[in-house]
Amino acid sequence: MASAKDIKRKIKSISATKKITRTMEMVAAAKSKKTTRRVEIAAPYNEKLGELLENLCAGENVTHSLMEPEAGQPPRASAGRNALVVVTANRGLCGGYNANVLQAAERWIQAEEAGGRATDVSMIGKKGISRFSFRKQPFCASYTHIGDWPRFEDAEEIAGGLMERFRAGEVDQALVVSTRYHSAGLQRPALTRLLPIARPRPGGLAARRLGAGAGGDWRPRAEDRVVWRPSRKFIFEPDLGTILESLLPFSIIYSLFRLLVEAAASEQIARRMAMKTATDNADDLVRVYKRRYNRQRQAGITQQISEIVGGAEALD
Amino acid sequence: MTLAGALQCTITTPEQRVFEGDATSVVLPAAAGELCILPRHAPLVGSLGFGELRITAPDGSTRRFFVQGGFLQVYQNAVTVLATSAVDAVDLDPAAEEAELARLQSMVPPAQDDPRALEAHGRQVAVRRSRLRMARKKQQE
Repeated sequence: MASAKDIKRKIKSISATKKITRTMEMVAAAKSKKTTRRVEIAAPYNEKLGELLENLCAGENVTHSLMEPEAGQPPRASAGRNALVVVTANRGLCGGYNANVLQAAERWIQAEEAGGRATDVSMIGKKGISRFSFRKQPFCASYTHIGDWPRFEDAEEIAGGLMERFRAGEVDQALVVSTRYHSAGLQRPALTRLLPIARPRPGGLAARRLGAGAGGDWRPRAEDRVVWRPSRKFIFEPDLGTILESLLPFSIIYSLFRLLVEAAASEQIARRMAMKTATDNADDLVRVYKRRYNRQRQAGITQQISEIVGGAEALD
Repeated sequence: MTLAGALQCTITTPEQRVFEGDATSVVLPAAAGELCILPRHAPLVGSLGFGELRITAPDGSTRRFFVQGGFLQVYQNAVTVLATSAVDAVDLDPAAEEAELARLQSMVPPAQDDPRALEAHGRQVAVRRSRLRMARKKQQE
């Protein structure tokens, strides 16, 4: 049995750790507030951009090298490889945040490998880099500078490279595995397809999320449903081709940017939750050890008293 | 509810919503020149250049923004500007703009044999000049 002194030391160490986790919790709470606000502010922009794209594609016969070929058109020549961007955090201590994303990514890579398709992984975040290096899984690019506050230029850089490779025919698809922010209480890892851009189908689903094929239970959400509306007569300024040439790449970059921002917000929320659990645990431990310490102290006193009493009686 | 005969105008950037409100007219820099949108304008989709965006509110007051890059949509009396960047004219600082322009102009221009870099540099200078013009205009008011 541990001595009273050992127990005291343990209590001290737990209290010190608790102080750290509590501070981390508060820092993550402040950061999550800021990053979450960013996601929410971006929401109307996202909505308007989606609407704009939809208006363009619904009204006209749109073909573009970044889009899926039209139904009935010959599909692109297959390159047998896909590009995958994996979004993880630079830092740990955030519960299952990194592990969940990496697991989803690895599952997808394995499933694709079984189908004979290779995957070029671009890794964002130190945690993913170290895990893939440890498991000797190759990745072709890595980024560690994104952090808590992704900038639009970061997304531009990464998405620009993806689009170039897609246009050159080096990859068939470009996908992102990241944590999606659904609400303050729900964030989930998900696979999102960036390229090619899905074509809105009459009454169908824009298959932005891949379904069971990816080995996950990612179900399409209501917002993935693209409503087919009849042609609206738009004036194009300067003309449709020019607009598409800048709008489509922009929407890809923006989608990636949004995913990065969502991931950053989810990371902070995950860290806050993990640190809250840790602090609560520390509280419980301190309570248990304090009780044990007091009991032992009490036992020591009782023993000493009974020794004194015993000694006094022996003298009589 | 929008007022009768008013446009609903929204300016957003990926970072934030810059403006939302009613307007009687919106003048904006389209890719090929200025474009004035009045109520009941036909549906329009366009790409945005850079320059001054003026919004005249129903009470006659005018607000000005510097916008750069992005897209605009006019549909059902709503003007939506999705700008890459947008700054309220009030926040423009002439001294800072002048310094930035001087910095850009003192930079070694990209080599002549790289037309894309040269064009990008020229555009940056033009954007800064336009911002400076707007900042100075604010000062005179």
